[in-house]
Amino acid sequence: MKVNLRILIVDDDVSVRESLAAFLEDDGFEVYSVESAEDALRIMKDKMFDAAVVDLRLPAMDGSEFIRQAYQSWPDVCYLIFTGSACYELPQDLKALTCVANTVYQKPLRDLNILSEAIRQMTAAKEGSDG
Amino acid sequence: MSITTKFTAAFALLLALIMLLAITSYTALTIVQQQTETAILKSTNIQSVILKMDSGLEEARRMQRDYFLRYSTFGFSKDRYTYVRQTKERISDVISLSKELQQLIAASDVGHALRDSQVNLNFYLSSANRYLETFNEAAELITGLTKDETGLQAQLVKNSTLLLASLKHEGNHLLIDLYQNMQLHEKDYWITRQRPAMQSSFNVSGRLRQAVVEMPGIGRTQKSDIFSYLDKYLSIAKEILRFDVAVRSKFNEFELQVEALEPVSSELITLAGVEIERARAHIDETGQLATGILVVISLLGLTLVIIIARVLNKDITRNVVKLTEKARELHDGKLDVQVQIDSADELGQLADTFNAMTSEIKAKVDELVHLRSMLKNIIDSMPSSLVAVDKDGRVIEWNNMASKFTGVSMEQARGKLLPDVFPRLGSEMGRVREAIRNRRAEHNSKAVRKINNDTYYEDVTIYPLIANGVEGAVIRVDDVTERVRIEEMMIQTEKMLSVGGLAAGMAHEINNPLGGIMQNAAVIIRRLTEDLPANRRAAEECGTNTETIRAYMEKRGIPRMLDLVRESGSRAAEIVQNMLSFSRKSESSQTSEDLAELLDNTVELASSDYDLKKKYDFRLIEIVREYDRESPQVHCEAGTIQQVFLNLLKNGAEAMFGQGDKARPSRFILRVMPENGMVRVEIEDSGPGIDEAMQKRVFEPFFTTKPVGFGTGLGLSVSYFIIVEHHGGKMDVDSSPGKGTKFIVRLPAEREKV
Ligand SMILES: Nc1ncnc2c1ncn2[C@@H]1O[C@H](COP(=O)(O)OP(=O)(O)O)[C@@H](O)[C@H]1O
Ligand SMILES: [Mg+2]
Repeated sequence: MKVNLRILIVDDDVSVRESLAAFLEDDGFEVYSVESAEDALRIMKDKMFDAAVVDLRLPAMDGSEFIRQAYQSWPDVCYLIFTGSACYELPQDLKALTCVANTVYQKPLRDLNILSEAIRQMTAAKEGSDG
Repeated sequence: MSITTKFTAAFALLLALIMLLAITSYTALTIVQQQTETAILKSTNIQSVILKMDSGLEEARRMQRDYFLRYSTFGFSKDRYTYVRQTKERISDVISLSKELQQLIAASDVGHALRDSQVNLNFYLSSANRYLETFNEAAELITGLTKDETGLQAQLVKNSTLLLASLKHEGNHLLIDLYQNMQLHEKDYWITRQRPAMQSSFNVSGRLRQAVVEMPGIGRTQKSDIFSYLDKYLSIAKEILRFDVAVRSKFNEFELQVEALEPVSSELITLAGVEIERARAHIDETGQLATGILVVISLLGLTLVIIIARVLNKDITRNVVKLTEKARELHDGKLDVQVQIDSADELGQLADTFNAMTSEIKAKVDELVHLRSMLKNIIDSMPSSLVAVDKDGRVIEWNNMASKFTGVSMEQARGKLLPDVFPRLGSEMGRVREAIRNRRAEHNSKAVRKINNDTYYEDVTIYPLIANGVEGAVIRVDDVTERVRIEEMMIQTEKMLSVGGLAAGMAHEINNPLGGIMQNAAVIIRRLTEDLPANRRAAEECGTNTETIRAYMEKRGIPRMLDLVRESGSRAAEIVQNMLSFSRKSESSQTSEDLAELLDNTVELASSDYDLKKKYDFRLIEIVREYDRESPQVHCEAGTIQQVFLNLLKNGAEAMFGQGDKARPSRFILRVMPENGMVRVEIEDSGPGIDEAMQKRVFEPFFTTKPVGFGTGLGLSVSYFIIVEHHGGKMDVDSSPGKGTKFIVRLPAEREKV
């Protein structure tokens, strides 16, 4: 029996964060959520995550910077950007990384299944490539 | 009288002159010929004189010969006289003829040879004179010899008769015989005139004498008579002999004279013949010469006349006629006439001057025409209606635009009162008068005019005209509707951009709460309506089950409410999304795309779209594709272009399903084709169409005909913005109400086809 995938949600909007966490939990993920990049880095040192859903606009460190730093320590984690800003484009250095989803998911998502499906696919691909 | 007539008269005169010349020369030649003929007559005369001379001489000679031969037998007959006289006459004839000849030769213009024969003629004359003398002398001698009674022959006969009588008296035969013998010889002599015959007679007379001597019986007196008779006989006979000799010598002399004369006369005859020949030849020569001269003169004259005629015709008449013609053409308005006269005379100079003059006139007129047409073109090419009016408001002139605007041509409008031909400007007459009075331009900008519910805008400017004493005004009417529309459009675009900017700034702030609302709604729906293990567990813990909860929820209509929450959220999200499209985007996300492929993807997307499916079944729509596969790639942002196509497909589908007429099948015709460096995409539906007034407005933001909650009025404006502002393309609508609508999107093709 396969262990549930462990997901980290990094978002400062409580409504979004909690509803997303609830949705993903219902979908069978083991979900942790934090409201800042700094908290995320801290919790990641304690626990191993399969994927992280990251908001861009965060109180101190922003989402892309967080991915850069987290990637240094945990390159096996899959990172998905989930943001409310419309004009954001994935920076080239992040685009180059296979562990970063090429699609930037825009809030509000009409159907959250899209996101959970993306997480599943990414981690499965990761698993496959790692052997 | 025309120049041609004058010249014809001149030629006629000239011709007459030449004919006169010919006649004169002919007359002159005739005279010469006549003179020559006179000369020939003279020559012939000379010849006849010479011939007469010659024949006279010949006759004289014949007669003289005759005379010589016969003079002894003539006796003293009259014949002798006749002969002598006739001979003398002939000779003197010859002499007088030769004298005449001498005069003739001297008097007339004869050849050298004949003139030189003058010497011979002198000799001839003197010979003839001498001939006559000799003949006279001979005749004298013969007279002495043969004269009756006293002539020697008569004496001899008388003596012989006496002797015979004496002898007979003796009656002696011998003597008679001797005498007869003597007579015989004498007769012989008379016949032959040979001296020996006479000598024989003498011998016989000697024997007679001897016989007489010896004869006896003869008396002394008888004897002496006989002897004296015999002596006398001898002396007379001897005298006769002497005379005969003299006569003969005279005749010999004749012969000599004649012999000397003969060559002279024959030479004269020859010369006379030569002279005649010469004269005849001269005549012929003169005649030929005359004919030749005449012919040459005539031909020369004719040639001269022809040459003169040609020269005059070529150099003058024709040129003058040409000049006259060209001048008339010029007068008739043919300005590019040029006369070609290649001659250095006054006519040539006149032609040059004429040409220079026409060229100058033409250049000036051309310049004027050019200037006029240029001015007219300038005025006509003005996008404004220009109307010139006099101070009473009558139209003086107006341009093309004014004609187009009013439908009244310049010619029809001229002189008419402005309000009659340009009703729109009737209200401006007060301002026109004002402008003329104050000598100041009057403006009325963005005057509103309504035609069939359409609003037009016009700028009316009135300039006073006070040039060259003409009072009036020029009214300029500019249709600024387009400009006003563009201005409005620009304002619109500015609005859109500010909306876009605002949306961009607000998006994060709105999207997060929206996200919260929608996500929470989604979770709520799931936890209340779906059969999840966690749901069941929680329900049991609360002493109920999911079925009860679901039943309660259904009863209270909660799932529908939650759905509406979600839908409202997603509409709000869509509005924000659309508003975000009104911001400028970077081009980095643009890629090379095949529009046909993009369109097909969009069609697929539309047919599987969940939200759309709820309203209508996209699969019921027939889709016709007319793609030109040669269409080049387009550099664009695939997502936004797809958004445009989706908007158009959605609109089309909504229009087709919304229409009441179910008989008409729903059908899209999709076209992709290259067009002048662009790729043209057409999306044509079979919907109700859009009327013309609405066509102008469909691209305005928030323009919609759909009920609140169904249409935002942003679809087309966003699409327009994406195509025109983001991609530098064009977007148009073409619709015929009742048939369908066609939206046309044009995007610049990539330079190099990949
Ligand atoms: N294919 C079409 N046929 C008829 N009407 C159309 C069509 N597409 C657009 N329209 C008209 O143009 C309006 C503006 O369309 P749009 O900008 O997409 O806004 P919305 O669809 O939200 O009304 C529509 O409300 C409709 O009246
Ligand atoms: Mg629409």
